[in-house]
Amino acid sequence: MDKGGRTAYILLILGLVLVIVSVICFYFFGSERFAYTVVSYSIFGGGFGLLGDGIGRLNAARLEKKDPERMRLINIEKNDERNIAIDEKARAKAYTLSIYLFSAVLVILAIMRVELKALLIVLCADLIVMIYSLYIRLKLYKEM
Amino acid sequence: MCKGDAMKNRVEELRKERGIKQEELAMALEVSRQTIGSLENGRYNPSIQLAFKISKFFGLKIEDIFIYEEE
Repeated sequence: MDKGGRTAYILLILGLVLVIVSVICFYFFGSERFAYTVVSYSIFGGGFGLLGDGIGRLNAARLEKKDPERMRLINIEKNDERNIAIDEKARAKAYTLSIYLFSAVLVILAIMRVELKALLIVLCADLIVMIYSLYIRLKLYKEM
Repeated sequence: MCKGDAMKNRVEELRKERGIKQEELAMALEVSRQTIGSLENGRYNPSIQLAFKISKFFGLKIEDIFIYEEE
C-alpha cells in the first residue's frame, strides 16, 4: 500500500476510535459534570473530522489508481499558482477583518458587562492571532 | 514594479498564431484554463517560473512575450 493510502486508513481508524471513545465517555460520564459532556462532544467532533479526512484521502488514493488523468487535472487545479494567490489574498483579507471583529466583540462584551474571565479569553485569542502574525512576518523577513 | 505600472503580454496572440486552445496551453503549462484566460486579459501577472515556462513553450525570450510599461 502506498503512503497516501496508509495515512488514509490510519486517519479512518483513529477517527472511528475517537468517535467510539466519545460515545462511551458520554454514556458513562456525560451526566456527571458539564465539563465531561463538553469533552465528549469535542472528541466526537474531532473523531468525525478525522473520519471525514480519511474518507476523502481514501477516495483520492482510489481515484489516482483508477483515473490518473482526472487526478492530474485535480492536482493542476489544486496547485495552480493563480488559485494559490487568490487563496492567500482571501486569507489575508479575512485576517484583517478578524482584527476589527475581535475589537468589536471585545467592546460589545465589555458593554454587556460580561465576566472578566470571558473578556480575557477573547483578548488572549486576539493577542495570540496578532503575535502569530508578527512571528510569521519576522520569519519570512529572514527567509525571503 | 510600482502599483500604477502595467504588464502586457502576447500570450493570446502567440497562442492563436499556433492554433492552440486555452485548455491545451493550460495542460502543457500545468495551470488551470482560468489562469490562461486571466493572463491573456492582463488581469493576472504570472510568477517568474510560469513566465519561463511560457517562454520555453513558445520558444521565445521572456521579453518578447511580456512587455513592461511604466506609467
